[in-house]
Amino acid sequence: MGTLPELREETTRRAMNYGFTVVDKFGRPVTLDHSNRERHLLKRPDLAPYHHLVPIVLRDPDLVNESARDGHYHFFRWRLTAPPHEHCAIRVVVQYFDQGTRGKVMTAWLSSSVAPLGIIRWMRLPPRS
Amino acid sequence: MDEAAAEVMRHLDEEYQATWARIAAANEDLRERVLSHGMLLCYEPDEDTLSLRLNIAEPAMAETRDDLIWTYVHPQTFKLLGVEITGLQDFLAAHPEGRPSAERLLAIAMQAPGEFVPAPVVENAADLLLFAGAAAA
Repeated sequence: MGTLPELREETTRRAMNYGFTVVDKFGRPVTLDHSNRERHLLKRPDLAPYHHLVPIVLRDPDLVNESARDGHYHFFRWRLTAPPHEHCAIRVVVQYFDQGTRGKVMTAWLSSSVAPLGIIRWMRLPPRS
Repeated sequence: MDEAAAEVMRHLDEEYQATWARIAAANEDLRERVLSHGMLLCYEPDEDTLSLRLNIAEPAMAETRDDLIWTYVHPQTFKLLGVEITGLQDFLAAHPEGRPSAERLLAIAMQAPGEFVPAPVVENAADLLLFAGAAAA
């Protein structure tokens, strides 16, 4: 895997043109198709400056929460956004198929808080001092 | 639970409580804002999602308490900008008292499925405020 700037450049190029398939934090391929991308951005224009970072959120999240309602996985990554959203996480929702072996990005948006719902599947812990 | 994990969870909970306290405090003028700006409605049949949006263009973030109603607020002022009910049938099963209002708003939105259409705000103020108020309370 390249450095973060390299990864950003690569994912920007791919996501801006074609959508993408990326291997997520759990080693499962997750796809965002082009038509879905266009729909996301029409409904949530605030995500447009950050949409190219969705693959990074899936590969290297700060937190992953499984929804109690529908079993979708919510991937969160903070500290990638600028004012007025600087305190927000990029939140990407994935539905898995085929016994959880592959996933699809259902939606994504900016969010500042995490409701105490569902099951936390992964969290980044602060470095030990 | 590991102490570091517990600390992260405490921080997340504090952020969550603070966010919703700010949303409640910032929206005491919600009725006036709905009547002043008007609202747009959109129903996405494929996703069974009903969206209500104030007719103003401002930056937004989305928050939820139940994974059914998503509250769109300005990321700095926490003023309400819209409401999204994801899974309308699930929502109505959990909140049957909202069915009459939801059906009236759905009838307006179904004029153009998948697109935002203006809701006559005076005639529908009570229905709009039912959902907007619940989202900001």
